[in-house]
Parts: sequence; structure tokens; C-alpha cells
Amino acid sequence: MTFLIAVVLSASLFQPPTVLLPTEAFAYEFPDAALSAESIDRFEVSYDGAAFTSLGLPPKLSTANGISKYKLIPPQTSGTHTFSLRACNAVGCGPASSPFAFAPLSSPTVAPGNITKVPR
Amino acid sequence: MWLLLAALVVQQPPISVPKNISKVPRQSSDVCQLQIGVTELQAGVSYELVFFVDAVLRYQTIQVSLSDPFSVTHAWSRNVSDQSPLCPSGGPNQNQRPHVMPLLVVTPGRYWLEAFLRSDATPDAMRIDAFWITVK
Repeated sequence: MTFLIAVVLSASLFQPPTVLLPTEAFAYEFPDAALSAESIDRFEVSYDGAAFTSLGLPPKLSTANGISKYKLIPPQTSGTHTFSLRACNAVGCGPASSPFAFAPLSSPTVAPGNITKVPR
Repeated sequence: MWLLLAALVVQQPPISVPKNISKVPRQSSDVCQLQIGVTELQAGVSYELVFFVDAVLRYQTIQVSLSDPFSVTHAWSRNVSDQSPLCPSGGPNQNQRPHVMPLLVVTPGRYWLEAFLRSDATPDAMRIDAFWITVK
């Protein structure tokens, strides 16, 4: 029984990164009420723990139930990366979101081999 | 006797956090994403507008316009003569070459900044980003 619990905990700690196709981007949500009440004038993003850079205030992708979605187009550099987002106003910036892991789909690195003949 | 109370409202940093990250399809209109470091400028002070553009297509011209709500007051263009990728892949933390344009606004106000890409293959300008800039 103890062994089974340990396995479940380990699995939840190591989530694989989200694979991102070249035709895909990410979207994040932010409440419209908070955008107004907190005078948000920009979002900022940090890739791989680097310094935050401004995204400005992107156009809304969609709005439902008072929550709007905004698009984020991350770099397509191969490998696993993370990004964090935060909202800012004239006074400063709020807390950052938890790092989100992603991995742009890269070209295969292994070619098919061991070619043999088989009957049709 | 009426007692007048003056309430001072002091703005605080945000407390809300962007969340619920999901995947969405990319569109041909957002192949590049403009990232700019500041959204507030001082009137009469010269700046260099530095931006990083991230995409996999090649463009000849990037054009940035700064307009008030009623008319275009400033517009800049930058041509890439060597046809090198204007939008190399990678982000600002990948040693990406920055693009620089001078920026000087003398009249305080709130302006709408838009960035466009143009090439022979895209005769209509493709807007890559737009947001408000405050000049104080």
C-alpha cells in the first residue's frame, strides 16, 4: 500500500511538457472586471526564468462569462521551455503564474533503418 | 455641521493572475508578435523603439505607426535590403537581433501604436500587434 501511494505522488510531480505544433499558440485568461478595476495596462511574460518582457495589452481572442482570452505566441526553439505570465499596471506588477512547460514539435532526429524484404 | 471626508484612493499593484492556459490555432495574421519594453513615455524625450519580432516568414518592411484616436501623427518604415529574415525564430532571450526605430512624441496623450509587416507577397499590410502608449 505504501509503495502504491508513492508511485501516484511521483506521477503527479512530473507532468510532461505540452507539445506545441508550428500551427499552434497558447491562450491565457484574465477577468474583465479585474482588467478594469486593477487598471491593467499590460501583460508580461518570462521565458525560462529570464526577465519579464512586456506583451502590451493584446487584442481579446474571445470573451465569455466576463473572462477574456488573450493569445501568446511563444518562440519555436526546440527543447523544453517554460513561461510565466503576470499582469501589470502603472504602479507595478502582480504575482506571476506558475511556470507552464511546453516543447515545440521538432523534426525527427532518427531516420528509419534496418530495411529488409518482406512478402507482399 | 457637515463633516466632509476626503477619501484618498491609492492605486495598488495588480493581484489577479493570468491563468487557464490552453492551446489555440495560430492564424496567418499573427505570424509575428511585437514585444516592447515600455508603454509609458515622456513627452519631448527621444527614444529608440526596440522591438523583437518572432516568426518564420520573410518580410521586406516593418512599419510602425503611432496615432491618436483620430489621425496618424507619426509613421516609420524600415526596409530590409538584404532580404534576410525580418522575423527569425526564437524569442528575445535567444540573442535575437533587435530592430530599432527612433521615437519622439512632443504632445502628451494616449496613442495607439500599431506595427505592420509588408512584402511583395503580401501587398496588404499585415498587422502584427497594437496597443496603447501613454505619453506624459
